[in-house]
Formats: sequence, structure tokens, C-alpha cells
Amino acid sequence: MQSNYILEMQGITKRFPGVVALENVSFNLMKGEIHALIGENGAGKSTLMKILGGVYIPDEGSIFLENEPVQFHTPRESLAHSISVIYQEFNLVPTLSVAENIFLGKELIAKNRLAADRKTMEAEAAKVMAKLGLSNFDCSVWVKHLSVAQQQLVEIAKAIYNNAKILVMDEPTAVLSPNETGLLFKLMRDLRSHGLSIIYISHRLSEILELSDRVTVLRDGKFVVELENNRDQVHETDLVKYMVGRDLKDTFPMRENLEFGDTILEVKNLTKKGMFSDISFSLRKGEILGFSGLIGAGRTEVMKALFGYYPVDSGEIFVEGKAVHIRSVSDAIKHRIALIPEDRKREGLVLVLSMAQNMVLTSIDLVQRYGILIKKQFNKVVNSYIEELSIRPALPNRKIKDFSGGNQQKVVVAKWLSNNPHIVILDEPTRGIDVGAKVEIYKLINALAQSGLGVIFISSEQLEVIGMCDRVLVMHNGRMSGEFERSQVTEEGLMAAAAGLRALNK
Amino acid sequence: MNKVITGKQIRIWATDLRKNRMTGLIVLMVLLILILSLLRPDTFFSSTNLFNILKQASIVSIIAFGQTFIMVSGGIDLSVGYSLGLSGVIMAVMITAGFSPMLAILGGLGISCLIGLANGVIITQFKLPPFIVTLGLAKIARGIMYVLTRGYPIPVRDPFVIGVGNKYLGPFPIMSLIMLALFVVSAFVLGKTVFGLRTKAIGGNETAARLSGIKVTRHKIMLYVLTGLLCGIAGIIMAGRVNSGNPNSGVNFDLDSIAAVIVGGTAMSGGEGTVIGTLLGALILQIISNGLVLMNVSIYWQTIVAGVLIISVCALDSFSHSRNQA
Repeated sequence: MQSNYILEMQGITKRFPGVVALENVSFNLMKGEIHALIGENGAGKSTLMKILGGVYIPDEGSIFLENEPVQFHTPRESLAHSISVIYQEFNLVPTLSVAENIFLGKELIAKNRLAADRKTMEAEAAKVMAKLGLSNFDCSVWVKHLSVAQQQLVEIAKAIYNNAKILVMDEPTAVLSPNETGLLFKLMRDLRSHGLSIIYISHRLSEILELSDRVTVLRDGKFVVELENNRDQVHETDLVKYMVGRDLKDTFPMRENLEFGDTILEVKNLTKKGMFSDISFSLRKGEILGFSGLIGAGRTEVMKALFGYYPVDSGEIFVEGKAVHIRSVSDAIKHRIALIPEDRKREGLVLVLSMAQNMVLTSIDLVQRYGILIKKQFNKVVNSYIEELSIRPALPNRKIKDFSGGNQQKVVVAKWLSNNPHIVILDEPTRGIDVGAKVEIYKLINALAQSGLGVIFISSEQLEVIGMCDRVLVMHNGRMSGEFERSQVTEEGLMAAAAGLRALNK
Repeated sequence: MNKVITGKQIRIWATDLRKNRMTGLIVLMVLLILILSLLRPDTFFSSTNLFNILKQASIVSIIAFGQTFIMVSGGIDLSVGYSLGLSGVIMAVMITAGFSPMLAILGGLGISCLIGLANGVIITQFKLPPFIVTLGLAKIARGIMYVLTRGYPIPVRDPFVIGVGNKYLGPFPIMSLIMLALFVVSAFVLGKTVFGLRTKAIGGNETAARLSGIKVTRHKIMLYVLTGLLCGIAGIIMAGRVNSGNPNSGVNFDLDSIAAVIVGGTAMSGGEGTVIGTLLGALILQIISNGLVLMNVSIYWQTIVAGVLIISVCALDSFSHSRNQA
């Protein structure tokens, strides 16, 4: 069987206890193309790539590399066939240098000596990094001292050094700023022109259309369609339709009533050295206030300080007109503030606990008497949230780590709403979740505002901020750099303010 | 191929998996008892010997209950052994100095709580790893004992203390009854209370716990103090049993308690664990060493067998886990 494909995966089926993760899925890749693989969470993208990476062994189906049948039983075997997979969680050792990471497992040994040949390794590593556009990069620094974008480059460098012919990147832009994303795309195109084949997983449809040559869509573990990306003929709405299997009319659901109540939160000159300074803003009941800016601009830090997680150096906070001192998270909870953190696995959930246990952590008073958990109350509270947020499968005692990303996010939300907050802060609530789940989150945010809560919505996706928020504040480098009413906000305006190009126009 | 699987079925599987460790431990214990009863029918399976095993396992179990809480919270306490020893020594010193036995017992409990407090405060305030801090306090406690006793046991003749360590209530050794009472309380607290749930949350994900409004610092300090208290109680019982405050009585209890916790299925990484598992772990380790004594195996070999057991139980667990990973 001859074909032009560098890689063909045919009829791949993979079952896990209780689920069929992939069913008869086929996927192919041409030499020197960027091929996007998309689908909602749980569609099977990651499973398919883990099969390619040798992490999982398929139950059925076959893989051909340059027309030769291959089987991978371990990641090492896949690597030996010049396939490099860059997972969302990087495979780097933080306390080894860039060079040591690139050469990990195949260190160069100095001649006639027992030690590793550090100098040569560093020089070789620098050459690889230079190929990626980073000349004079110091490859002796520890990886943990690098920015996320730089760490990603080290991962790519590792792949290049391994003579990768196929590079898989799982959501590479989720952790990057727009600027860094631009640089990464340039690099990816560059690698493509040198004959590298790239499989690219992303939730960002505009990026997919910008970058990829072809697109494969999966849904519920099945192959849906393979598209040529002819710039004018494929649109985001088409992709969404294939992914969710139905028309998705309004991405940003409208709110009917745009009347705001009294000021519920006022922050004056909040400062924490090294993180942010002179932050002032106010929030009204029923208002959705957006916080835009680049990753690392200090938005998350401001919110965590407001939530009592970091102590502040100076500044005042007023909740419902009264000056308050928030020294700990439990103080913030007393003042009816809720923060839904950006990284649900690292900050929002205790993965080893059950779904039910996670749900009640913040509202433990509802389910206890004299410090003892009351089973009846416990089940009542938990079941009401499962019902309300339509979490399926409804297995409250199953560990939360065994649920999908969308369901996990719902649990994080449930955890905080069970506490009857008046002010809700959502930090990047839609990051890394699929379009369908995003719309559900948008509806929820609207409902919260509708019911008179003050909502702060941090997001790095400008379209989302524009579509959802009544007012948008922009931060740059730890300071406020812009404020826009719903009517004035544009993508260009947000970009400029995020880059610090525009003074506060109040 | 696409079989329909109901939620109920999944739930049954999930419960089975969770209970696996416990069933495994019970099966292992019953097997051990059966084998040893067959090999040594006269000596092993007698009520005297079985109560002996329970008695021998009591002290290590009490401190292992505390160790369970600490390890579920993601920490470790290496000071438990010397904290136990110091409690007995302080009590003995105070009785010798003429204090009333009750006051002396309180003194012993107090010093162990103090060590726990020091552990908790230093770990949380200086943000140091529990391994280092509790290792340091173990050394300090040990040093204090030797300073106070110059290495010699201080005799205790108080009948109450000796009674706690040696007497029986009906057929039951008093120390084992104390242990079982502490077991019931510990199991209840870890399994059924807010305190227990928060302990698991902290061990599972400290950041998420803090962001959920749990006072992590205070909670951790309380855990170390409570473990200190359990060490103190174990120390008094130990002093009663050997009729003295002996500076060497705590040796090995640190690692033995950790072994019981690990065999009992508590995750080294925190977040998961049960007190019943720890009790079973302690009993199994004790049954093995008792059985080997009855079979005239040298004490050195017993240690080797215990080591093999710890590793194989955990290896089995890890193996079944990785196979069940979806």
C-alpha cells in the first residue's frame, strides 16, 4: 500500500473501563504540513495522540509510518521512530539546565573521562536553540528559571535534536501571550518549510484557521471530517458545527436587563510590591466587569489579594460601602466574595477527593453539626448541585480527577456558588474547555449578573471580553492601563492598552 | 462493541476498587493467622498469644494513628518515637521529684504536645519540609532525654501508671482498650468530620484548600499537636509497661509507625488514607514478627521479612492502580 502520507492511523479503537474513547478513528498526516486536530473535550484528541506517542496501546487499528506498519508499546519506541509529542504539561526537569534537558537520556560523555561533557552539550544545545531563532541562548541555566514560552522552546529543541519528523503539540498557545503566540507560529511555519510535519491540537479556532493546512475533527471518539483549509471556504462557524454536531447560534448569549444597582465593591490604590500597584476600580450589582491584559500583567494577583490569599502592602477595600480588612481567604468568604481560580487542577480542586467532597469544601457549614458531617444534608446539597449544573454521570462519590474538564469546571463553580456569594470573581473560566462548555459558562455568568451579583471576569481572550462584559479594565505590568465601556470596546483598543500603549482614558 | 453501561454498575466498580485495599489487608491478615495457626497450633492460636499480639501492637498503633493524620495531610513526623520516649521520661522525672502522679502524667503529655506544637509552628512559619523539622525535633527530644537521665532508665513505681501498662480488664489488656478507644475516635474524626475532610483536602491540594477558605496553617499545627498528644499517651503506657522512664524506649517507633501507615494504604503523596488501614497494618506487622519468634526465626530475619512485606504490599497496590488507570 503506497501513499504520500508520512503517517497513517487506520481504524484506531481504544476502550477504557466503561468508555470507548476512540472508535474506528482514522487520521493521516502529509510530509511538511501543519495538521490541526480539533474536537470538544472528551472527543478523543489526547487519547489519539497518546497512542501515537506510545503511552496507550490501541485495542484495534494500525499505524503506518512512511508506509511501514509500526507498533509502539512505550513512549521510547515512538520517540525512536522520530515522533515527538509535546504535552500540555511539559516533560522537562526543572532543576536541570537547558542543555541537560535537551540531552536527557543520551548525554555526551567526555573523552577518557567519566563525567558528562557539559561544554560540548551546551554548545550543541545552543546551536539547536539558534535554529529556533534564539541566538546566544545561555543553555547552562536551569529550566525552572525560564519563562513558559522559553520552556516550550526547549521542548521543541529537544524534538529537533531527536531528529523529529513528526511533532505533536497539545494546546501550545494556551499558556502564551499574543506576542509569544505570534513568534511560535512563525517558528512552526519555519519548521514546516524544512519538511517537519506538525500535528496541532487547539481550542482556538481562529488560530487553527490561520495556521493549519488541514483540519481533522473528532467528536465523541469518532472521526467526523477532514477539511482542506482553503482560507476563504472554511469558517469558524463551520468548525464549531462539526465539533458540537449542531448549529451554535449565539456564542455570546444576550442579557435582557442591563440595569445596575449600587456599588458593591470598591478598591482604592491597592498595592503589593513586585506584583501590582495603585489599583483602583469599582463594581456595581448586576455588572459584569472584565479584566483584560496579557498573562502576567498582574490581574490574577490583584484578585488573589482581594481574596485574602496574598497580603497587600497598602490600599483600601470597600464591600457594600463599608471598609473591610481581608487578611485571609475565610475573611473574604465572610464578606461574600468568591474566587473561581484560573487553574482548576492546581488551585480549584483536590483531585484525590470525590466530586461531592470537593463541592462542599467551601460551604462546609451547610453540611455539618458540631464538626460532624451530616450525611443527609451532605447528599442533599450535593445532589441539588448535580441536578442544577446537569453533571453527567451523576456519581458524587467518584474521584473528581476521573471526570472531564467541563464537569470539573462545573464542580469548581458549584463549590463557590453553594456559598451564596455577592461578588464572584472568575479567573479565566473558559480556558481549555470546549465551545459547548464555554457557552454554558457564559450563560451562567449572565445568570449570576442577572440575579444581582457583581461579577469580575478575567479573560485573555479579547472576543470573549468584548462579547460578555459591561465594562472592561485593562492591566499592563501591574498597573491599570485602560478602561472601556461596553459601547467603546474594540479589539484594537484592548490590544493597545494591554501592551501599555494607551493612557487611562477616564 | 458499544456496551451500555449504567451509572449503577460504574458505582459498584468504583466502590470495589476503593475497598480493595481494605479487603486485601483483611485477607492477608486472616491468611497469616491461618498459616501460623497450622504451623504452630499450640503456641500461636492461643488466646494468650493473640492478646499478646494485640498488646504488642497497641503502642505503635496509637502513634501510627497520629502519623496517619500527618501523612494524609501530606506531611511526615519522624519525631514520634522520641516524643513518646520523652513523655515517659518527663513523667518519671516528675514522679521522682515528688510531683503527684496525675500532674506527672500531664507533664508527660504536655511535653509531647509541645514537641508537636514546635513541629507545626516551625513547619508552617518557616515553610520548611516536615521531614527536616521533625527529624530535628526528634534529635532534640532525644538529647533532652539523655541530658535528664544520663542514659539510664528512671524507675516508676506508681501503681496507676504500672496498671495502665500491665493490667487487664477482664481478659482485655488495658493498654489495648485504650488503643481501641483511640482508634474509634481517630477513625471517626478522619472519616466523618469536617476536620478529617479538611485534612484530606490539605494533603490532596494545599493551594486549593487555602483558596477554599481552609485555615491551612492552623490546621497543620493542630495535626502535629494532636499527634504529639497521641505520642504522649503512648509514652505513659510504655513507661508503665517497662516500669520506668526509659530514654531508649522510643527507638524505631518513628519508622515502625510509618510502616504501619503505609501498609495500611495511606498515600505517601497525601490526600488519601484510613485509620482502620493503619490498625490493620500495625497488626499484620506484629503478627508476622510474633509468628517468626514462635518459629524460632532470629530477630534479624524478622526485620528483613518486615521490609519485604512493606515493599511488596505497596508494589501490589501500585501495580493494581496502574492497571486500573483509565
